[in-house]
Amino acid sequence: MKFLRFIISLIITTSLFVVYQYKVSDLPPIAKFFSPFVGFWQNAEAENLLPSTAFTSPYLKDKVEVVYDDRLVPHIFAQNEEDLFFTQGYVTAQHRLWQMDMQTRVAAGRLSEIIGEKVLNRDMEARRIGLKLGAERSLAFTNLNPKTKKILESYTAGVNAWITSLTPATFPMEYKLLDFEPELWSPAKAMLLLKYMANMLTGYETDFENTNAVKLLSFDVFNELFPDFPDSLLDPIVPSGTLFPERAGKLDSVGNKFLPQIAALSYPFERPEADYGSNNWAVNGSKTANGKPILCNDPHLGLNLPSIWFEVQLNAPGINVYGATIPGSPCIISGFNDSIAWGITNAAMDVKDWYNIKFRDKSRNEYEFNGKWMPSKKVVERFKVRGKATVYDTIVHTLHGPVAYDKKYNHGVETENRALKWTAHGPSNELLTLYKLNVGQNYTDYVDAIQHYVCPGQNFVFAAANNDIAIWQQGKFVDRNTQQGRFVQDGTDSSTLWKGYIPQNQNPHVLNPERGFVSSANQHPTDQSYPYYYTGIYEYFRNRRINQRLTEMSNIKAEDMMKLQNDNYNLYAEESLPLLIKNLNTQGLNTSQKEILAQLSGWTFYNDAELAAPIYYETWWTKFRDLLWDEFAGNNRLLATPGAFHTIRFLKRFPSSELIDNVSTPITETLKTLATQSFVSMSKELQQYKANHPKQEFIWANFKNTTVTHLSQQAAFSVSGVQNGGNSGIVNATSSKKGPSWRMVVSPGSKGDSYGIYPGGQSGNVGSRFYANFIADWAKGKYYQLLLLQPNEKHPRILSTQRGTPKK
Amino acid sequence: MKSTPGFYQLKEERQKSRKWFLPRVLLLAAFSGLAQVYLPWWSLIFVCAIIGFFTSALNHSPFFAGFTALFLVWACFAFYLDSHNAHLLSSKVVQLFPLPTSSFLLVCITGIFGGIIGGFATLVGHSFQKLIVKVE
Repeated sequence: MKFLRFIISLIITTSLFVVYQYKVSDLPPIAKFFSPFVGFWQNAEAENLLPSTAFTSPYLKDKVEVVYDDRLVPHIFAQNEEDLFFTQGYVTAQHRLWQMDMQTRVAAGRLSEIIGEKVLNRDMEARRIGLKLGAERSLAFTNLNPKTKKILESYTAGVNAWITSLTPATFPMEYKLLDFEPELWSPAKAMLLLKYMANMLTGYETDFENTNAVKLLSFDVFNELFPDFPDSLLDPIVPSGTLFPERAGKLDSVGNKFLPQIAALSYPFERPEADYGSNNWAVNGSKTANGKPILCNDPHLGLNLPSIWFEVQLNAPGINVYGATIPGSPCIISGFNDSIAWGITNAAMDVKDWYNIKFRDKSRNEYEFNGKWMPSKKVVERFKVRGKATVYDTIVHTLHGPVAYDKKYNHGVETENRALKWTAHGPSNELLTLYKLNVGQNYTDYVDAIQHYVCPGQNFVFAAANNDIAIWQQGKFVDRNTQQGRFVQDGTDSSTLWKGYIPQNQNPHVLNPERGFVSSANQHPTDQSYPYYYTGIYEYFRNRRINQRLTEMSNIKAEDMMKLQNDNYNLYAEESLPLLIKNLNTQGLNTSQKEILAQLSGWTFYNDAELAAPIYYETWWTKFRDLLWDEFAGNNRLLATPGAFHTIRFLKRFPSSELIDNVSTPITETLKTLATQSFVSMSKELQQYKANHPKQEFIWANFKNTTVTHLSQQAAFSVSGVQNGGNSGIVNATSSKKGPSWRMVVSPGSKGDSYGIYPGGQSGNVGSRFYANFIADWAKGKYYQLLLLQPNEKHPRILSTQRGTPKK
Repeated sequence: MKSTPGFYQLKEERQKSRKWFLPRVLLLAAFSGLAQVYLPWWSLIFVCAIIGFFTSALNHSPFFAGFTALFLVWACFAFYLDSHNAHLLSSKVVQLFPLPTSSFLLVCITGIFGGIIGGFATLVGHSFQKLIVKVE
């Protein structure tokens, strides 16, 4: 009896130890998570805590001071650049370590080491498209430049100084929840992070879909629905009519080297979604109230917590700059200093091409090229999977690039192999651009800085205190033959190869245009007179609204720019709703449907948060497009439907096209039928929605339900129901999961006239009051004044100071 | 119920045992708390087992003593951290579980988790002592 009691209690205690110490299925280890001595409670930092602990490091050469303002923005003051970037790494890790770690693991294809088998495919995709490959090449290249090599090393040393100061109790809470430990940082990780951004922001390509669409529709119809250059309403970045220098060689046509069969059933890789985009613009003193230029930027990205951005000021002799950084990468990405300001939007040029590879046999050891069999190179990638055996994936490399797409994604069909050619694979040193912009003083410095930038292509908007304004679309862009890169290409001969790149000085740009402003919103960089062929997926609404407003505006103050960044005017509604209403058969509508129609008819096209009309319109428009493009659904092949702009353009040009007919019904549908059917199904669906949400006010903000999602996807750590208007395609591009991730309005030369906000908070700690504290103000369209402090400046908004000293 | 000498003896034993319950709890709490500050969390298992072993003659409810001690240590410390944090973290963490959104509930659950392992660890030491020491 006594023996039994002892044995049973021993067994229970041992079992408890196991579940308290080790992760069982999805549950965190109980003690490692719940113990107030080591678990998440340790991250419940005191509410009024401000970073003030001193740090020492043998790496530091001199004293550094980190001054925190009331929004927990670190202002770093160092005596030399090495100490400066060391400290940037140190404080960034202090607030955002887990996020840095996770994002680089995603890029490296190492997420399954932590999460397990369910993310293995995602890891394989990251390796297959060559993010690691590109990061390795870029690291070697970046190290060739002594300046950027030193910056990377200093930053890395700073991050590692923070990591090594941690104990299991002080690890960020997410490590405890997912049960893993931070590993040391390295320059390679910073490169991976830049490739992670490149993957998120490049490759506005739909090669698979386009190839399928041509087979389905014929080339002429395809070109009508997805034109490279719609005839009007382009409103490009470089104003129409600007003269371009002639190109060096002749522009060739790629001929009929498109893929003969259906390209693919699915696209397994991550790609920028249609609602990624950004706005930036700058006006010179001729348009502002105080005669100083104003520069604005709002990159639209996934709305996440911890935010993709981290604000910081960097100060050392020769550098004094403020702005938004990406945790894990040194320098400031979008910001300003005493003399200049710059901002970025994505260049939507396609820099990602797919080539069809013909292997000699199943071994994939050789592939056909120019009539010969070329040897392929095989690289075995290794994936450690948590709780499972290690998995290996063989990636075949060709002269085009890695064969990312093969039988794995195509029901085991051995003959469909596609290699990826992408500018992100090439060596590049984007960091040099960032550094030079950070210390830049004028237009010449800015042009010198951006020339090093390869991928992801960006529209760098610029303004200087001397009233110079400019914009360059910068990146390494392919000098294409006409039509090259729109479709999956034949990889068996050299005629489809990239023949070179657009010379850097020929990249689309404009300096001090007559109209007094420059702007970009992911639209076409040029009109059709540009002597190089390019293709991409372009914006047609935000750009026109912005340019229209900037043309109208004069005597501009910072507040006017803030209003413009928060502008909810829905241009695609203005251009499509009259068409829908005109074709709506109003006979047979019931009372509530007539009421909806009345609301829509009186609507002034603003997607404001507190209105119901945007709900009716957006739902109707989506349903209408689904009915209209029924040809694209089903079909057992991967297809993309024409965007809103192309849809409206098509309907205006071909109001009785046979594509309007629904192919699955015996009758012939007209525009009237589709408009009426979609209206009725919209009203029914929304009636159902109202019945399902009896307690919710029926307004656009609630319906759209903008959510800022924690990187772990845990709803508990996310913020939903953000009360904001807009949508993608609107200047305030806030959709349900994406939106303006960093709004900046700055005025070079006008001290103190700098404002910014992002939907998050400086701290990555869910338990900090600085975790998500900007979101409510961001939703209201408010801004904070950004402090570009001088060394030893006493400012009332400074709350605490952290000091670093060299350790002998 | 019939009164027998054995019954009175037992009652006396119980009273003695009860008298020692609180000191035993405090002993467990103090030493396990101290251990967890400087050692990994699982040091509490050894501390409880050892104290359970040496105090087994004084008190007859080892599980409840260990449970109470560790419940108090974990819950009180969690409560302290939580109130200084203005419940910012706990109000979010509690949403990870299918529970009412209450920080106080999370503090209690934390205490119960501590209590369970503290209780069983104390029981191990206690019952081991009973096993090896012959009582007449």
